[in-house]
Amino acid sequence: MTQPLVKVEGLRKLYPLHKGVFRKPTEYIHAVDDVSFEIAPGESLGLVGESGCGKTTTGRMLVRLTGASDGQILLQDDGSMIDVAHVDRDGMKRFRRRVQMIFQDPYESMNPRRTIFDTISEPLQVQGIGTVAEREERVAELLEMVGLIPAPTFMFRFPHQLSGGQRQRVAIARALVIDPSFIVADEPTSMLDVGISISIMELMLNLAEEFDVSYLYITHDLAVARYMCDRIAVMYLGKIVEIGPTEELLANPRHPYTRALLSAVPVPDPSSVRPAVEIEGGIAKAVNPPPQCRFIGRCPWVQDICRRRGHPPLEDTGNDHLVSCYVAKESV
Amino acid sequence: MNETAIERNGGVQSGRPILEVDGLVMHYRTKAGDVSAVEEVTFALGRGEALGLVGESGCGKTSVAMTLIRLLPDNAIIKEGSVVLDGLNVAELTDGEMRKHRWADISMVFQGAMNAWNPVYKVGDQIMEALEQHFPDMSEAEGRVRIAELFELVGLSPAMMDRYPHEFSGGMRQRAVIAMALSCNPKVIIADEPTTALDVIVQDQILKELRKIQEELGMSIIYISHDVAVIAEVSDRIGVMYAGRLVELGATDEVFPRPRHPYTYLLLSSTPSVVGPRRRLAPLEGEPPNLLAPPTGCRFQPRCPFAAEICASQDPPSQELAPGHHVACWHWEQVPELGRLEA
Amino acid sequence: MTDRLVDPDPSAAPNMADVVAEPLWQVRLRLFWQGLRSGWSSFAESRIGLVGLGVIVLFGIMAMIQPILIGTVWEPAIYDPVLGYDAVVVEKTIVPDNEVTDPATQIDLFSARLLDPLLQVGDTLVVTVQPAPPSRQHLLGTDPLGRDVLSQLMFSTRAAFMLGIVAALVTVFIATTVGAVSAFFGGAVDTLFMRLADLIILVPFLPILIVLSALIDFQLFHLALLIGVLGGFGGTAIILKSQALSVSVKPFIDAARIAGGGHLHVIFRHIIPNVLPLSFLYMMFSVTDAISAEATLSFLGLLNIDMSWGIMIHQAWDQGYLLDPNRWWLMVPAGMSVTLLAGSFFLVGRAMDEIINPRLRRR
Repeated sequence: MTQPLVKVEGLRKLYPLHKGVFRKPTEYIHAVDDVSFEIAPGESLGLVGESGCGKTTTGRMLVRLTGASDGQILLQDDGSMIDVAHVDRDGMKRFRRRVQMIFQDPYESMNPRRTIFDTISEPLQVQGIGTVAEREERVAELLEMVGLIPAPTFMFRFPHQLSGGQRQRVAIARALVIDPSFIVADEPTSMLDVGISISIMELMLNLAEEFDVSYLYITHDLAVARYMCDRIAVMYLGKIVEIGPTEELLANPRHPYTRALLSAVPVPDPSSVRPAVEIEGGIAKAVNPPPQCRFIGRCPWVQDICRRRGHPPLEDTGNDHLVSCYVAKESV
Repeated sequence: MNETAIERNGGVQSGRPILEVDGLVMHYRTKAGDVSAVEEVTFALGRGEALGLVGESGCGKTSVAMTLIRLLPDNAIIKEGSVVLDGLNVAELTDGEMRKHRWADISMVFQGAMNAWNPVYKVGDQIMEALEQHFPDMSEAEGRVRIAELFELVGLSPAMMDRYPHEFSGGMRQRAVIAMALSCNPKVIIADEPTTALDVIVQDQILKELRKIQEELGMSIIYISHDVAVIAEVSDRIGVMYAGRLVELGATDEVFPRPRHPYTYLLLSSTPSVVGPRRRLAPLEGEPPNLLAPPTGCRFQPRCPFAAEICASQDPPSQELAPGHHVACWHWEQVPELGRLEA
Repeated sequence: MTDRLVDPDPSAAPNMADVVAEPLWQVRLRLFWQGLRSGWSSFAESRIGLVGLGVIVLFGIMAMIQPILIGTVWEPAIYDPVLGYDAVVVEKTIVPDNEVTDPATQIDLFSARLLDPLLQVGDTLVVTVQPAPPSRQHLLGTDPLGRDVLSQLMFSTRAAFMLGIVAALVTVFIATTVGAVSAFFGGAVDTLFMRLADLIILVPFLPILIVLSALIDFQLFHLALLIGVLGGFGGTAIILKSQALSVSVKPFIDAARIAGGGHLHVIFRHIIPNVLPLSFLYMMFSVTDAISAEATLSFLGLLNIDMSWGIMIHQAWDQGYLLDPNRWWLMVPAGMSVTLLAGSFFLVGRAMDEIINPRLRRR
């Protein structure tokens, strides 16, 4: 197997809840709890789950907007793996050139007082890459690539003069301007209308090939993940419960949660028959969770083994398809 | 699914529709000029029927809903057309007269259940307030019995009525909003993006609940959503709106497999799905027009792949292709079957 | 394949070579100018803003022409606001005691005999009047020391402007920096600045100034700095911090950090530019506060300054003319000026508020 581009091991994020007079943290929210995965160069991994499952926190830890409580994030840089959590100043600078992010809200992810040129060229400017003229050329080139044509008319506009779809194109250009190898995309199309979101997704797919970047694509929508990703990881309450190649996972969902999630997605075809959703209730908060399987309270398949043992490990069921469930593993 | 759809169609009672919208034109007066938000919209809602209105943001679907229930801002003017609710022209009522009919005859499930409740009052008391306005003779005990019934109907424990909104989860709040909308036995319910902010599993539960209630009570309901998939699941008929116009209207089972309007076609082919073959999606190019100065002729013409000369000069009339299937397009014959137009 | 902007005329689009050829500072200057123009056009829609601005300009003109008048039309020995003196001479007829009907032309016998015991009823007496009522030479009369009130009023305008603007600039500079730093770093820095602000709000301003004025020789400039510093670390800092806080949690701050931007980059390029509109607004309100504070302190006689509107009122009070309707010119012009100038900055602030706030909301 080739060396992975990103390797995450045992990643954890605990948020303390302060209570009492002395504000001593007695409880912790386990936002992300022991998450491990790898992303190969050029591959896109979809991180899917409901709100509050920890998918955004995971993404933010990967770009170092949030510090991890525990665990390792390794990023391949010129053949060697750098440990993202323990880099020096110089390593941090290299890291910032390799990893970028695209945000959900196109209206809030750009400084309203800076021009499109300033926004896109910001990574170049703060890292001191190129002269002003070179940056202008580079920005113009990227604007054309993301379909904001003719580029000169857009360069010195302000974000509020652009539509949501156009801003998301600018966000993509900003993420690509320093030629990164890895981009975390946090629901980049969830606030856009369908037609526009498809054109943004198409654009991201095309540019991924052209720039040879990998995405961690965070979304709540399995249909979008299917369109964008080579592999999908399903998260529930801070844990990855199932991970596998997109079509394999959608065709043979093994974890009861994945099955529920999949059967709850409405289908734009009135003639299709959807299996009934087997689980009830909403997602809980992972405050000091018990050691057993996180899904135990809502699981339709729960058995003795689930109550006796800790959270099930992710185990391979063949075809690169891993699932974290005692019952599902047996049924394979 | 298919079976229930047929059942539901069978459940539609014959006779005069409960709601008839005819040639509705609604504009917003702004400093910059008139925004033509709803233009010549005509449809009818049968008794016990579920109609879905779908379109991009700003297409006028919510404006139509607000016109039906007459909750329009001051600068909105109904220029033409009628909205006949069970024999009563709602468009001509004064605000005072409308107040008597709102909630009692036509009610609404608003989008964003988070903001629908006043945080300082108990949920039950807020529903009670609506009941008191329409049934002044009802005693408090009767009211509580009624609310308990409603809560059970929408799948909430009756004990929840004495709780405050912050004690409800998002899905429970939306259920309570539905209970509120049902409280006065309306003839028609408008559900405006009833599940937009919810997670898929909760969305599924709410949609199923709504469908169950609709069938049980024989309710007529108008769903409004930007999500074609949601509309496909819950509606007997679908109306597709674009830039203030209803461009296609027909039975869900007919429109989805074989859309006739290019916009419907593109909307459907740009919606990703978890079932069926993984196919390349056709992006919908361009952006909706500025309704201060809508394009001449067909409003979809600047974005339409089939646009020809006539489209820019003449507005396409609504044609009935098959019984109940209306399309406003000059070139509906050219629209291919789904999945055929691939890059 | 895009949701491109519908460009009305693609041929009008500038070409790339031209864009690169134009230096960036020129582009920025042009954009700044455009922003200023659009800002002005929204401001011009506000009636109260224009009224406020009109009053400010009027006072500005007054401040500027006073030195010119002194050099040309007004004799410095008479019209100097501090050192000038003019004894207005009036002839008065002597009437019997208790029969004075018009104090401007008549004087009672008892008072007249205090000056010259030989005078009789019916005689005329030449007296100097201080303070003198408005006349052609002194449009707003003279003060109890025989100085021209109009000249004082115009002279003091300069001081009021200087004080207000210096105080406001200092306030806004400090408050913006403190607010941004506090919001960005949070933690101990935030606690320190916010508790300091609470302290400044809690501690009564006036008594402190009274104590300080006993220790230090207060010049106007010192007062401006003091008001500015207290305002800057006080309430304005809290308001601007809350604005900075709402900016600092926006995703574009995250984006800047991912781009590799350091603390200073984020604070100065992203947070402060988005707080500045509100800062300018509060600058207007600080001018109002500073002018009022100066008037109060001068009125209490706590400032070691030659002339100001507050001093004018102080003198009217000092000589016992404060509530004398017959000596209105001692009190009303100065009082009106304080109210008008402070009020007009407030109006301009309100008009700016109407422009800035909906814009912030829209974004």
